Amino acid sequence: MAQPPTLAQLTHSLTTLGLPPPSPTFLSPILLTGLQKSTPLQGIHATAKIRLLSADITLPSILLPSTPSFPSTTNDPKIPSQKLSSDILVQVLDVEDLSKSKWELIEALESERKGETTKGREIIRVIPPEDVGPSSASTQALGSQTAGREGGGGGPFKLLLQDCKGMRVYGFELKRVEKIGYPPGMGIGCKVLLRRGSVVARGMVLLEPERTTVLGGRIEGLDKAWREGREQRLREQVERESRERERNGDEDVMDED
Amino acid sequence: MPPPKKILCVAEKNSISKAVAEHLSGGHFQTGNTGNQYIKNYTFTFDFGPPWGNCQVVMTSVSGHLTAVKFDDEYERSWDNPPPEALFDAPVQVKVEDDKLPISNNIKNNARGAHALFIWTDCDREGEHIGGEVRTEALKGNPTLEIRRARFSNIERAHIIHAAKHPVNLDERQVLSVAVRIELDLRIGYAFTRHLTNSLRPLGGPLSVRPDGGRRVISFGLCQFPTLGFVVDRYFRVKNFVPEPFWSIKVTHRRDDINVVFNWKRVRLFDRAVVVILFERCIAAKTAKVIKVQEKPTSKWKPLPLTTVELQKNASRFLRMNSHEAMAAAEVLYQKGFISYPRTETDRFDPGMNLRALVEKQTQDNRWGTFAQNLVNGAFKQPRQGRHDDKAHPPIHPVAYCAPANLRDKEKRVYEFITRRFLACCSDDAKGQATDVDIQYADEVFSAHGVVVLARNYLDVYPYENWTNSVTLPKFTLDEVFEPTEAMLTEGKTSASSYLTEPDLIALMDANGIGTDATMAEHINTIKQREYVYTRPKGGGGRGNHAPAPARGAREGRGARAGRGGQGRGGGATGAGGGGGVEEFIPSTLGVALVDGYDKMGHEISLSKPFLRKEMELKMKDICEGRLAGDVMLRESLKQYKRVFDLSKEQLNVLKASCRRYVLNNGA
Repeated sequence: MAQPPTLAQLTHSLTTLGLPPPSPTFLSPILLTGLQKSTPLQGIHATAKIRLLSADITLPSILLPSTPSFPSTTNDPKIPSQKLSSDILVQVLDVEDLSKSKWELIEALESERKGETTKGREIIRVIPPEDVGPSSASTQALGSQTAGREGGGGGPFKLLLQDCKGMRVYGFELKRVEKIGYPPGMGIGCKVLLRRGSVVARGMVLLEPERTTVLGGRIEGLDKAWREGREQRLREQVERESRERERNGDEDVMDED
Repeated sequence: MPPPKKILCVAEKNSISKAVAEHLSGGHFQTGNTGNQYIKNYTFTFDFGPPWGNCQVVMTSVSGHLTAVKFDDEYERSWDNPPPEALFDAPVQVKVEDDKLPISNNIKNNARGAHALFIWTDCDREGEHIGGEVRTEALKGNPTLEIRRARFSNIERAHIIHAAKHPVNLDERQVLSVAVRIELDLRIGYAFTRHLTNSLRPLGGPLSVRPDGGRRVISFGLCQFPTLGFVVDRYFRVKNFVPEPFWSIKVTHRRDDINVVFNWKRVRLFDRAVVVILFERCIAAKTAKVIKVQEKPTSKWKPLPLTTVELQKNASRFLRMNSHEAMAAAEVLYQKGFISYPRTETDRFDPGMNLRALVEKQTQDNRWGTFAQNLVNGAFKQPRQGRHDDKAHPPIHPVAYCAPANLRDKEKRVYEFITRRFLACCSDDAKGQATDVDIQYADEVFSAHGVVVLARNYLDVYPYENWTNSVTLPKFTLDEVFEPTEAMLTEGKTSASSYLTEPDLIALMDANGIGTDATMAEHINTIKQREYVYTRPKGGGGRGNHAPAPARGAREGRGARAGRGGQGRGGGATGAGGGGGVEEFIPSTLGVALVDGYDKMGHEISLSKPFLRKEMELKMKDICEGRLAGDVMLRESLKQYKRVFDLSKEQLNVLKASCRRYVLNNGA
């Protein structure tokens, strides 16, 4: 019979994944239960990993107080460019596809809500435009304005990230990063590791595959609330922004007159 | 020698009957009157070949459907009693309509003494059913008649003679499928129409009296409601739309006196801060690097062979007529023998067809004759093969040449379109050379695209499409590094899609399985007549969408999707006219109220949505292909609709509330 796994071994197995060392108050109970059931290290490691990825890392009992977090200047929009000097673990609080208008998303959510996307109940509401002359399949002769938005996957995505101290910083995909997307693909509360050297421009982290590792996981409550309130949130946002523009726009018109 | 046998031929309309008589008799026939002033009997002899040989022929016609399904009289007297729901299972009878009795008698009389009946109704489901009606009447006059069916898809001489000599049998499944549909239309249409009218009239105002003073009937049709549903849905999409700003980066580089525009691969993003950051990074990078240079032959494909739906869509786009008018003109052209049967889903020609011979007939025209001659001389190419085949008719094509002087204006335009489309199909794709240059500027990729058209080919005969040279790109070399002349951060605003136009509506009906190619135009016409929708010339407020619109009131629904709408008049001018003759559909308040009401009742299956009707269409296909029995379909569909009927009776108040809100303007 092998030696029972120790706390140090368990911590080590997690840090090799790039995770910061969790606090012993988080790990010890998991280890204890594992030992009682004589679970091998591998099994305990898996449990600890899942628990950590589903945890809210801003809670004091999860990570060590010494865990690296964003420097206070990170979200300063006046700094054109700075680099993170250590690996930072963050959790995703919000996600947005910047290539789609909110209205587009609202219409899609609405049609889903009305059951129009259910199999056998689909309704086709919009026929892909045939403009630019009645199209034949003329290679890319279409203006690149319309042709460019290929690959329905969309993106780049913008994420609201939070470190273990609770600081919130936006980040967006400078280049496509695997596994970033809308729930359920990537859950809210998903853990992301920002590697040392990641560039922060005007308060936003530029996400690139070389320096961004999506570790997975989600925070159950947050994820549920995000999904359920999404259409309502988008509608309020669109209304608010539209009112703001209207106010500003009116001034412009006044000036012209 | 025995006396010649007698054969009775019956077509769907007199014009077809006459055209067929002319071909079979070589122009030598006698014309006799019947009890219907529009229908004649043409008498002549024709050699059908074995086993019939030379026969005495009487060629006559019906005038569309001969019979109608009717409820017993007690159901016709009052709309309240028996109650509308009784119509779901009240007895019905098939009757020859009173005004069709002379036609029926003519058939019965001529069936006496005849050896065979040849049915010449149009070769589609509806025509097959009419053939069945003709058979029933003829057998009443002569129970021993042999029944045959002529199969044809145009009225060209050789084709007609071939059809006469190679008759087939009536397709019983098609006859049955139409019979089922007719009964469903009757029962469901009557029940809902009576229920709606009885319930809504008491609300008064326009719900009780029409603008012209007549009593309002709120008519329900299985296809019309979903069609109306599309119009209303789009209307609200346009009305509720909120424009949103977006930003983009545009890079221009001047070389060899050419301004090359590089478009951003990300096209546009809806976050200003992000675009500003990316833009700053480009500026900071100073130079861009060429990461792809690709020159390759490119082509613009010639169109697919013409289907009914495509004809209808193109008619409103290019021929300044709606689908209803286009089909009427096509019908005349077909009856005169100039084009093939105009109701077809097929977009591929049978490889056995002699298309060159058809092209050759067009060489005498002074508009496209030279082009046709050129095809005959060797430029002919086999048309592309689409994916649809209704197994009954070829794509719409000209079968004989017709000089423009012999046609009325609309027919002329439709004939021209069909012929040009056909010649385009038999020609070669347009060929060009495309150049793509991609550059990387900071982390962003931009691309420029150029095309040089080398051979226009089919475009020379098909002015409905165009392909122009875009910029010729100057020379760029892979890995070359240069400093772009200009980079700009641009701003734009999303605009609402436009109200539905007729081509849009046809495309939606087609995509969602509402109606058949043959009936779509009628359904559209019906919802107009019933005052559920009206049309107006398109382009009410189309501003060019490229202009970085000075932000104005946020909620004026702008009527232009990218590229359409405002085009005609050169950008800039606000609300000038719009694209020649295309009309857009706006629902009436009544139309909105009906759809809104049914949607709000929360039926899992709303009547304004296409599924129920689509299911019916699929079941009819199943009957035609032998997978489903007619009485099963009848039972299932009636049960489904009866359930919806019961639900909508329970929730009548919801519908009434919508009517009060939209039609009577309470609390609008």
